[in-house]
Amino acid sequence: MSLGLFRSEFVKGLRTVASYGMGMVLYVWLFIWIYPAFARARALSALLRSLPPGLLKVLGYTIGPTHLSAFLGGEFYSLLYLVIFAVFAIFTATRLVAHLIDNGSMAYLLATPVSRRAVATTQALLLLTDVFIIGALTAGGALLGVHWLLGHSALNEHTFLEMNLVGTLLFAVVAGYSFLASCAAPDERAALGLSTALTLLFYGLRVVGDVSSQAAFLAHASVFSAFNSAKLIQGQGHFARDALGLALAAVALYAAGIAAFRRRQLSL
Amino acid sequence: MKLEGLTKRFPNGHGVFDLDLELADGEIVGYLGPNGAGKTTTIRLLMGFLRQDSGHASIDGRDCWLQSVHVQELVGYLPGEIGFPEDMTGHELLDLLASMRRPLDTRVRRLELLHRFDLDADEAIRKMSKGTKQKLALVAALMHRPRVLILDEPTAGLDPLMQERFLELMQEEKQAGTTALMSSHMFSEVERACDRVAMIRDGRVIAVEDMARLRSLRRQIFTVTVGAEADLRAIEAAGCTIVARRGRELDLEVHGDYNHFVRTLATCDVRMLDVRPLNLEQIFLHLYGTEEAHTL
Repeated sequence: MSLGLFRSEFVKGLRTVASYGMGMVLYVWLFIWIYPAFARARALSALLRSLPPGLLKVLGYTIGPTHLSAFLGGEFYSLLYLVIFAVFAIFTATRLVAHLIDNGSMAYLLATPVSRRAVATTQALLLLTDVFIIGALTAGGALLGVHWLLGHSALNEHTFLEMNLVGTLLFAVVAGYSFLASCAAPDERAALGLSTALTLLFYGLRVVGDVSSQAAFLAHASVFSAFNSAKLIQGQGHFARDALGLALAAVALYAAGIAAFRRRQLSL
Repeated sequence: MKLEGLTKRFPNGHGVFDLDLELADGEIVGYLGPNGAGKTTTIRLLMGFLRQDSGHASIDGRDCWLQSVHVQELVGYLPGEIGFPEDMTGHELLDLLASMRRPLDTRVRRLELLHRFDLDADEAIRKMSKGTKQKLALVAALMHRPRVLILDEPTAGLDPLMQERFLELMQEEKQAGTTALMSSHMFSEVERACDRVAMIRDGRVIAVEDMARLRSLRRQIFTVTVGAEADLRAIEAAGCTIVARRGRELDLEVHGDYNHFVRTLATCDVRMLDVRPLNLEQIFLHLYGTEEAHTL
């Protein structure tokens, strides 16, 4: 990899990473702040319990929103966290390779004696670094928020961090296939379209699989199924299996992206 | 720099076909051709951005695709289309490129080039004019003192003063033994900078000529607009070659006796008189037939 390129691109992307990270932290704080009022709203709880079990499962209310962990795992981490993180992963992966090829600035990088493999590896490591920074900011911000806003530790910190690690690895995978698209697609628009379509497809498959027992098999085809936030936060998920599977998938996707970039014909 | 049977065919049928060209060490060659002829494709093959279908391109004995990292240690590259990262200043970009060439120290040469091109590299790239970006691209291509230069239209967007500075720089590079391939449309630029000129058309090198021979073929074209048909006949009778005729406007070449031509003009009702040199494409046209000339 090229340290000079890593440093330059990291500094360039720092503001974006900070914005997404702060957005995540502010949202998780908002959820922690409204949780006491939500827990007290028994009428709402009763209403939720009257909803079909399948729908509740999709929303993450497997044990009812009577604990902060269930509330965060079922609410924040099952939707908003996924949306914000997915947008960040897709846009950053596209910006780091396909955008540089499209606007021609890749020509200057590849005109230096740094190999294509080294340039692509640098961009992949940068993407992973950014994903882990956002993941760490979210986890750290949430723990800080719980202590600050609720005044006591209402979370099992161990399982909470496990869930965050799996969530971060999930987005290392989302960023991984977006990176592969960024390296292999003919242009920036195609890369962005492909990554977005794939992410929507995976999310849709999980939702359909969760809602309908007949279509439960569909959820297995979705990478999002590897992140069951509601169970992981309770320590009921398959932390080691999911984390390892996601990590291996991410490594394979980045390796494929780097290989595609090395062979690519570049009109620079 | 050596191209042997170099072929790259794109799905639309365009590309370069069976290119043969060799540049000796220290030689500067102009690379000419109309838009879409294959100049930029040749340059991308030399830079290892594209992989050839067949044939071979090498610089200093290294294969341009397989050993592109070694090739790029030697090469300074100026792309035809300037596409910088917009969210940086000029200095930040040059720092980045310098860091990717470490341990080579580019600071002294960079300062010298910035001064020579009168470039303020503290400015954000997105605020730079086209000419300023071109100057920045030249500094980026030259700041590591490359032994080989590959320049795609190096003076595009530069004002006459900066074009002059670039040509001075190329003279110095020539004296320093730098090998260079540069595409250009300007005779004056190629005349001063290059030892030879290669002409490409429809993906094939159609001619390679010494600069001295091209210089000897350089002629002037006069454009004369007259008031009467009789004037046209008088000028035609003065022994000039008519290149083109548009109503009462003639493009003509004068061979030898300028005095006779001027005396003939003095008897005519001349409404407009202009003179321009043949450009390189026209000279090649003259050398290699009118059919090709018309399509250039």
